[in-house]
Amino acid sequence: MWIKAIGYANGTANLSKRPDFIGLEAAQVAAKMAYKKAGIDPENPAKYLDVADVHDCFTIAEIMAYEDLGFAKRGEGYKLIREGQTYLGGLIPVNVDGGLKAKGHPIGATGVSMIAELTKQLRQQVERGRQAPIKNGMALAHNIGGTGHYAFVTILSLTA
Amino acid sequence: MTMSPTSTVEKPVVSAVVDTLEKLYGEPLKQLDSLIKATGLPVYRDPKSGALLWVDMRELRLRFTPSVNKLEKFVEGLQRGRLMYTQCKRCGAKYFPPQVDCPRCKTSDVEWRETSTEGELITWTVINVKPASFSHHGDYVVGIVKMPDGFNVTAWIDADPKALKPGMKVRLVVDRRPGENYITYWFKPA
Repeated sequence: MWIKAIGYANGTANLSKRPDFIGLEAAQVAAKMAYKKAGIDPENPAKYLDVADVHDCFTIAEIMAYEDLGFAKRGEGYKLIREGQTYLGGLIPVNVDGGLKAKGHPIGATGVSMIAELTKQLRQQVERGRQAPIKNGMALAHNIGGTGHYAFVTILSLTA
Repeated sequence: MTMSPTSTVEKPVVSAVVDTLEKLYGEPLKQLDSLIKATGLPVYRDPKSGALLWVDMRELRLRFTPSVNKLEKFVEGLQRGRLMYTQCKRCGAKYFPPQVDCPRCKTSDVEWRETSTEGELITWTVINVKPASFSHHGDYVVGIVKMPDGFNVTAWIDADPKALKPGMKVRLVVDRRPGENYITYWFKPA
């Protein structure tokens, strides 16, 4: 298993200094950085990825993550769920381990668990019923800290 | 919600906070005395985890007294019923809360200016679980207000949260807040 790219960025911790509250700037910057390093088209990242784990520390955070990562246009993230596009068999299965809200969120260990889950996914070693179809051999982890002012986007790959 | 203090705050805020902390940490300490008497040790089993815990006799007390020496004009402004911000004389960057060092152009030459008195409510939340120092208040609203000066201000919003709407005009108040009784700033519907 290879770490193809890591994108990371900080934003302001002070909510009153943010331009808006419908996304996380740090995550947007981190995603762009990771996509560039991994050779992923930021306009259509889902085409390159088989599965993703995103930091859904709140319900809305998952939809914001879709938009920050470019899986959907701003304001249209909810459509991915309605259309089943982030479920197994959809455009890009997201949080098929349950995500933070269902699996649990032991802070620091959360990011590690994302990498462990995605590694198992790419190796097709997860239990039946949760395995995402692996075609491209790449997966994405989106991990957020603080009030959304730390962001790491990691791209894992089966090949260097 | 209104800013009227609850019944516990007829007394000065410092003693009200001390009372709250005493209730939080003092009561278990009294139990500790009887525990030592009965078992001979300051040791008990945590009811949740079942783990054996030793209670240290040392108690740490901490009260922050950060310097506001460089922000004297902000303090004076509050006393005059004004809210002050700073603007860098070199690059024009505006700072609220005010700061005298400009991280953009790395100089410390700022002009002190008065904020507008009306802004636009962008977002808000209702605080149900309060820190000990605000435990004498009922539920309160914290919001972010967009000021025409070109920055946002985070402050309490003195209003029924049901009456709030994004984009609504809110008016700045600089006054003594019931409860603490010291001068601070908040907003209310304009």
